[in-house]
Amino acid sequence: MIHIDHIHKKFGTHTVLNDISIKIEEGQIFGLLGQNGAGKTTLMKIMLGLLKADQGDVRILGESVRFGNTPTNQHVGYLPDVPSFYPYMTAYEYLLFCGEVTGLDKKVRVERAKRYLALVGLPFNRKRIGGFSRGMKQRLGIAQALIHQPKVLICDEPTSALDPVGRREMIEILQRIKHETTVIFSTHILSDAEKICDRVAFLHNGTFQLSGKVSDILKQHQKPILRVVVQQMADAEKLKPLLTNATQSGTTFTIPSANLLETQQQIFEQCIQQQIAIQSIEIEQSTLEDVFLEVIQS
Amino acid sequence: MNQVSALFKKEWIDFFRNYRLLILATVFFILAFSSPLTAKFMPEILGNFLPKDVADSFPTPTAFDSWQQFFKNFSQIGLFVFVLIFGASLSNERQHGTLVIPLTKGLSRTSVILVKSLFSMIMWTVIYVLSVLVVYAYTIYYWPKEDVQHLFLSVFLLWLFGIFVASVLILGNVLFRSFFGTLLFAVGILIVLFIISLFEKLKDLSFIRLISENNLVLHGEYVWSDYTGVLITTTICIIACHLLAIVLFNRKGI
Repeated sequence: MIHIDHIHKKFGTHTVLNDISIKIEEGQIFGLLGQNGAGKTTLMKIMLGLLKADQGDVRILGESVRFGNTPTNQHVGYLPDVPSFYPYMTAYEYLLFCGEVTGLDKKVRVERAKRYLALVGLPFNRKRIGGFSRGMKQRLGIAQALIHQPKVLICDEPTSALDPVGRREMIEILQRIKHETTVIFSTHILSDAEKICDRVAFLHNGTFQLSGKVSDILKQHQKPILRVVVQQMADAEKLKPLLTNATQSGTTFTIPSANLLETQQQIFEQCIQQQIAIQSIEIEQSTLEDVFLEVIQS
Repeated sequence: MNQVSALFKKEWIDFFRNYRLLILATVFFILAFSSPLTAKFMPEILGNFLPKDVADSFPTPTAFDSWQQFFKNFSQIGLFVFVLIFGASLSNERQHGTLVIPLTKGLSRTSVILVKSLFSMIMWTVIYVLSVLVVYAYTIYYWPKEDVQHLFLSVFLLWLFGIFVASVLILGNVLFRSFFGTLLFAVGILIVLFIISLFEKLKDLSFIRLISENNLVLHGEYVWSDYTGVLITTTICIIACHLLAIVLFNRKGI
């Protein structure tokens, strides 16, 4: 469905994409993962013909993407990371405008505008977009991207700017439309990706460090981990130098381990010696986020 | 065709809901109403404050004075307000990125330029014509027996200058991302036109004639045939501004 073939892109002397190739198949939710500045937006803009690749080719449904006004965009819906709409229009008017721009008949665009407003959970009223919250704008963004029923929906960080409720709603919407269109979405929030993606690819240092089915990646890279939570920040500071292979966030330590019993014993011994109070200790399986951190660190 | 009509509707909603129509129409109509009224009553008003012999020396106002006021008002304040209203119509969208979504939906950039420009020209034309009708009605009412010559030509020249200004604005909008860039560009063009009009040989072709000779036309000093050269050069410039704007905008990144 989408072939990305040996794409290179430099900005000045900085190489953002270095020989990127991947195939994305129909009916999937594909997660493009990476840190901020990894090149996710650049790759998406190349797929949309908004940026020119230095080398390589992107084909959507067999047709090559051209820089500028590319005909492949009739198959693509796009939600930018910070979508800007006309603040003086209502959501319904904006959807009718988008429908007319893509050449839909009046009857069809009226019907679709109403349908997609309902799908993304926006009310059909006279409220202007200027007064919308971020979450509402993001939902309108999805609705406008779907109005011409594209084969592919490209969303750039659709959940990143939202609060937890907004994020959950956005993920639900993406799951709902999976049957209508192939979804490509970029994010640095890996728990979101783990929840809904069929396949993911990690973009790091200009290349895909890891790609494939989420379940396969987890099966291959998943390790048991110990998650230790100590009671106070002071305790965490004391424990930090003793756990060299752990990742820390606040008072929580995540420790990958091949031999759980041995690691557990070491931790307990150190805690007794240093008089550190443990609040909880759990054995878990590593998540996509843990795998990603490991890939970056290696 | 779909895209053009979608863009026109969008421009109209913008123009109406952001009070631009209200501002433009209000200013134009105030200028239009005040032109004949100032001509008629200003000598009387001043007469109340000035010594009698000075007041008596004022000539009796005529229909010419009414139109003279109109041309003075519209070639200065009128055009300036027009520039304020339409000076950032495209650069605003470029700044805020509101065109990104429609453009990725296959909206043609040429249509964007042409509709924006055409829309400003239509608004200029409609409100200008209505203002002219207001001045005409009042002038006929106060000076029923007086008749000015070549009124249509005189009014047409100022209208054409407005169309030229609209073309300069659309080019400025493509060249500059900010309103002030466009404003300076328009002022720069105006200065160049003034300089051109200083040269004896080029004087006949200067567009400044479109807004500086309206009163002389009313007195019958110029007729249509005197403007052939200017009309041709103005039309060429209007078309050139659009072509240049389209070519440049098609190459710009968004």
